[in-house]
Amino acid sequence: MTDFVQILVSGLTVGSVIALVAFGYNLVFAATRIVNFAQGSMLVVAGYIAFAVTRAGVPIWGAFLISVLASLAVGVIVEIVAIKPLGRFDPETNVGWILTTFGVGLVAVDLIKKTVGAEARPLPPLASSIFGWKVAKFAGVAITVPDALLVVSAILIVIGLERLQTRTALGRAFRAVAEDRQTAGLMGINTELIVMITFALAGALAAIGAVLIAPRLFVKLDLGVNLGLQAFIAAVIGGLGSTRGAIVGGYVIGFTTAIVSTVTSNGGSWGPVIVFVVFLLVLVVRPAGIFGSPAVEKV
Amino acid sequence: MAKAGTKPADTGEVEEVAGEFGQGVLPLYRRRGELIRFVPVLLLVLFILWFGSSQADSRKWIDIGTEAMYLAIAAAGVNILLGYTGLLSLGHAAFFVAGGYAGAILSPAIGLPPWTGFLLAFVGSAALGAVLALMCCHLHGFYLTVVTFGFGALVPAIVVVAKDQLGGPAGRSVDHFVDTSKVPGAHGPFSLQLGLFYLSAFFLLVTLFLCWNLVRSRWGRAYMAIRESEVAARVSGVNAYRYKVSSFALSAGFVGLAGWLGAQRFVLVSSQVATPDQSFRYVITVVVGGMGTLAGPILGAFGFSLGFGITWVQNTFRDYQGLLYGALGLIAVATAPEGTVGNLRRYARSYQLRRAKRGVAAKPVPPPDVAAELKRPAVREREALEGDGEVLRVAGLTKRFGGVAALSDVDLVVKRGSVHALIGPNGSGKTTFINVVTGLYKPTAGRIELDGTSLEGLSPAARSGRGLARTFQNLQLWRRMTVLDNVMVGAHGRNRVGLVQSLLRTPKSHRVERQLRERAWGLLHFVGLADRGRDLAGTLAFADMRRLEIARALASDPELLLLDEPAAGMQVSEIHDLAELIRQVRDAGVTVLLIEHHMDLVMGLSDTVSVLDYGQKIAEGPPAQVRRDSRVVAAYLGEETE
Repeated sequence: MTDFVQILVSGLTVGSVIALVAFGYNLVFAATRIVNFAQGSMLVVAGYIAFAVTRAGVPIWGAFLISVLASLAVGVIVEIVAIKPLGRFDPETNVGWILTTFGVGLVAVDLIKKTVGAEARPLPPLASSIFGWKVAKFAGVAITVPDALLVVSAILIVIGLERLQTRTALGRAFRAVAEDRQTAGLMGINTELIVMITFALAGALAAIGAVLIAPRLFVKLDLGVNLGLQAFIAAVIGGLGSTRGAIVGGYVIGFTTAIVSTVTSNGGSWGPVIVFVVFLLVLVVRPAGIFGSPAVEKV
Repeated sequence: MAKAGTKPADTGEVEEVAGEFGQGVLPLYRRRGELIRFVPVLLLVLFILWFGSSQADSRKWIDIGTEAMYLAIAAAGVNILLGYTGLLSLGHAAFFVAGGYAGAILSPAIGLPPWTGFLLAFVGSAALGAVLALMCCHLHGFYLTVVTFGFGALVPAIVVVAKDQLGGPAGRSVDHFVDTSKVPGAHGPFSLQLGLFYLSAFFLLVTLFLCWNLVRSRWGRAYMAIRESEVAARVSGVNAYRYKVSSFALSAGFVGLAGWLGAQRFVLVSSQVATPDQSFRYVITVVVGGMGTLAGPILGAFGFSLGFGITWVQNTFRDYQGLLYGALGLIAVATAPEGTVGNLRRYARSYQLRRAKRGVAAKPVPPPDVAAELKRPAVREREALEGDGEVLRVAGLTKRFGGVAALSDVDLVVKRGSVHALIGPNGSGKTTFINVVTGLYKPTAGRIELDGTSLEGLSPAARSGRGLARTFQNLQLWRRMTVLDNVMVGAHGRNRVGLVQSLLRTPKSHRVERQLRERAWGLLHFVGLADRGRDLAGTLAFADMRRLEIARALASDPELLLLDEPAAGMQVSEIHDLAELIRQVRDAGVTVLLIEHHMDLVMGLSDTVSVLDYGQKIAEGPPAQVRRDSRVVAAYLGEETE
């Protein structure tokens, strides 16, 4: 029973952490067919912004808002630096964008390293108690408020993003641009603006993720690559472009890791191997992921 | 798919083909056998000798030189995949570590002398690369990159899981390293290091030799064809999946070889270097140097390695490599996708052109003349078959896309030696028909027989082998390959030279190359493009591109040539020439299935005309009869039928 609850709690929280990063990949991919490999680095940048603001004495909620706003700008900068200069290109065949987004991520992390330093920084949780409730215990497993907040926020974000994508004019524009950028432009959609908006929103998502994750993992530089890579795998498993796919992919990784570390004796070192096997299986059987729609091959 | 054909180059100026990321670079006009092409190799050898002798007393610079050599080997490996095959891997650093473990740990452990470790390093990494590629090379575009990226995450996990064998994250020290002080030329206080430098340089020269042979072989051309247009490569007889796997394995092998040398230098194999960042650095090294060129990766690797030897660079960027490589990647991809070598060639090319315009330079080298029998299409030798007289027999062919039936229950028989036209309004299923027959689409139902044998389940490449060849309505030329190379790949399925033979350029490989080249020149004479043989295909005029597609298709000595709207976009005089060309093709014994809109062309050429409308065959017969058919008229003009 303890094991079961432990797996459930750990799987949900780790899965939500991963999903919070993966949402950013999906949002951009859903509109542009581009994966922003700088997403993990944007999370690091947002985290350090929040940290810098809290150190200046601003309470965490204020820091959270400032970080979200600043990260909108970070997203735009990433787009201007990594995507704009490439001009018009077909992301299917011309994969230069992989290098530019990856490169801008490396540059961003190194700039933080040079200016702020490489130490891991703490952030206070957004809420340490809800109506006086701090920690719940089920079968000896502690559930803290920040963890609960993490899990609930991830689910809320899925609902919010899916509504944005399916029920709003902006969401329709995203999908139109993804489907056929040229035609979308002819229909009066400012496609360049749409692409920029997705990057800005991805920046904001990175800030939300950073502040929610920080109580658990701190703000540190290697989140960019490590968490970014895991989130990427989650996004691919769930289906790039699908928001619910991101959270399902996150849960797949979270639960796999949790189950493996409970079942095996050596502390879960098999976890990443099995996650990779799952990842490969998904790609072999269903390259578009669980919720992705397979691309039609045109000749 | 690449949007080839949307941008026809209508001038002969090479500069019209703007460099884009992931494409090849301009070749220079050179005479065959001109010794100038060996100058870079000579410079490399001189550099190695000079560096080794002048820096013999500097431990720091010898180590840097060694690193430059093995980084160049790794970059050359990455270049095979990225530059020539057009596939981006962000996981190749893992093969560096794999090569280290296989060559420097495993190989001595099973009792082999340390210096033979390079064999196992190469083979082991190549095998690992092949396994990974087998699982991911069916994926399109960047999904392949996705897998390699995930693969990078696997390595740190593996070394922890196999802690007893691989030593965990700290790695394992190399107990039986190569005694490089015995390498010729090693002397002085750091003879061990100097010997390793010369050893690495030797392996770099071997790598260069193999890559040199590769890109001038059937295999290298197939890789480039996949890079330029995979669909066209497949219907030209290139089994794209197999070639991508081989390219991946080869490139992993060279990176593994570099890993073995790295293990000798550090006397340690550790997975610490197998990060996505490190894989990214390999890629940037190749991109900055020049993808798809032999010199590019070497230049890039030397630039980065030796650059880091400068104290200022080292102090500034040692802890900020991401900043350096990231920024260079951004700049290179956006502003100089052809890299250093590509841009140098561009300057050299425009210098050549300027000189040619002023009449200073020698005239372009005339195309070689070849025997008359090579200058016409050939029909492959075959046994007499039952039901001869029918080349293609299609029965009940149906293709549905979702609920839409692009083809329903089409029967068609093409008689040997005829020109058979397939016409119909836009969207009537003509191109779908060709795509199904050539195997690009799987039919929903129906049978397709070529020469009486079913083509069911055969890949496009295998169908090319059986004697099907086609052209594309939206031109799928390999634009950044020469006109001659385009035709040579067209004959891909007509000869068999193994990868090892191609790498070593054995006499057999050499002989086949010569035959192929003569045949390709012959077909270029046939379609009237011999003068342009050494130019890039992307620089041809529109009508010439169509002729080149025909020459490429004929290179496989097809039984049946499928022409998909060959006259689209042509002027009247060009259409006239085309009709003459098609007639000559038929007279040479090649059966032609012609899809066309130009009624003059169809009616003047065809022996039989079949008409498709909404995926159904509505009429068939001699041109004069079809022309009067009321349903055909209705389909074209939209009249009500009785």
